[in-house]
Amino acid sequence: MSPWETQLRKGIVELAVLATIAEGEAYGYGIVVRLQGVSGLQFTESTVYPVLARLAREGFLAIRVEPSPAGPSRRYYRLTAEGRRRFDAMAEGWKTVSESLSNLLKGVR
Amino acid sequence: MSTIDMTVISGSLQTLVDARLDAIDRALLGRVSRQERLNVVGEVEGRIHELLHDRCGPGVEPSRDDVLAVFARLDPPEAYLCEGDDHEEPRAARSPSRPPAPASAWSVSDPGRFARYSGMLGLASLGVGLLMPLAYGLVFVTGNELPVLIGVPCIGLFMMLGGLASLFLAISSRLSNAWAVVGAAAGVLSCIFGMAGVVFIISLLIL
Repeated sequence: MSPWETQLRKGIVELAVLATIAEGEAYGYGIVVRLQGVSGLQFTESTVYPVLARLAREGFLAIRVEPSPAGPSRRYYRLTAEGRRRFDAMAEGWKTVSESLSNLLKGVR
Repeated sequence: MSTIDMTVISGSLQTLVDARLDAIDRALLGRVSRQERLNVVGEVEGRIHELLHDRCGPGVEPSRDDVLAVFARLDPPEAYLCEGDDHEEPRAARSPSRPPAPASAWSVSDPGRFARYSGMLGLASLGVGLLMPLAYGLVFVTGNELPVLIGVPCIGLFMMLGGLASLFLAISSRLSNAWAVVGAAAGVLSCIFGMAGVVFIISLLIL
């Protein structure tokens, strides 16, 4: 993967994670699995888990712990009110950038 | 849930799992808070148990091969070194024993280090210039001109080379911080004083 693509993905991982959780409460690996199903957003756990931990620390995500039959408890993440605002702002920003860039590329082609 | 359904891991295999989790913790150490590290490690631990549960079935004790096979399906601890970086390698290429990527010691993408070395080298070169008066002092003490004739050109050459190197490093760092500015200034001064010392000795020898 080229460096610019890596940088692009690095920039959008937080938005991708927030968007996944905005669809509904999800646990760590469930978020990874959901993203794996989206073309271009195949982030793995080493990318997603630290972002989840950081967003939780920053108050954008709330955690609900539930026992798991397989072992340690699962952490379910959901957006807080602040997280929802953050997601809305990021989504809006992304739309603007995306549309502008698409228009720019149309002109080039 | 009953405890009988949970995947039971024996002591030695639990040590193996713990070592893996500790390696991830170390990869995150110093970059994220303790609570975040605990969260990340907790997520990975949960995932390991889920994969073992899926692989071996409920209540069945996994073997060492099972644990290693589960590890192979997970990102290696080194992948946690950079949050958000791309780690989408083929699963087959993942190995717990894969060494971490070496940090590039002298790359242009590390301007902070260039700047720091520039500042230190520039100041050191300038500091060496203080030895010139000392060389003159030795002439008066010993009555011998050799300390000046040999010492000053050597000191001057060192100052010029050190100054030039410092200047080069400062430019390479694109004057990214205060160290670089100090390095550039000290480098220029060091070159000037060093050259002056050498020229002075040459003129003494000629005259």
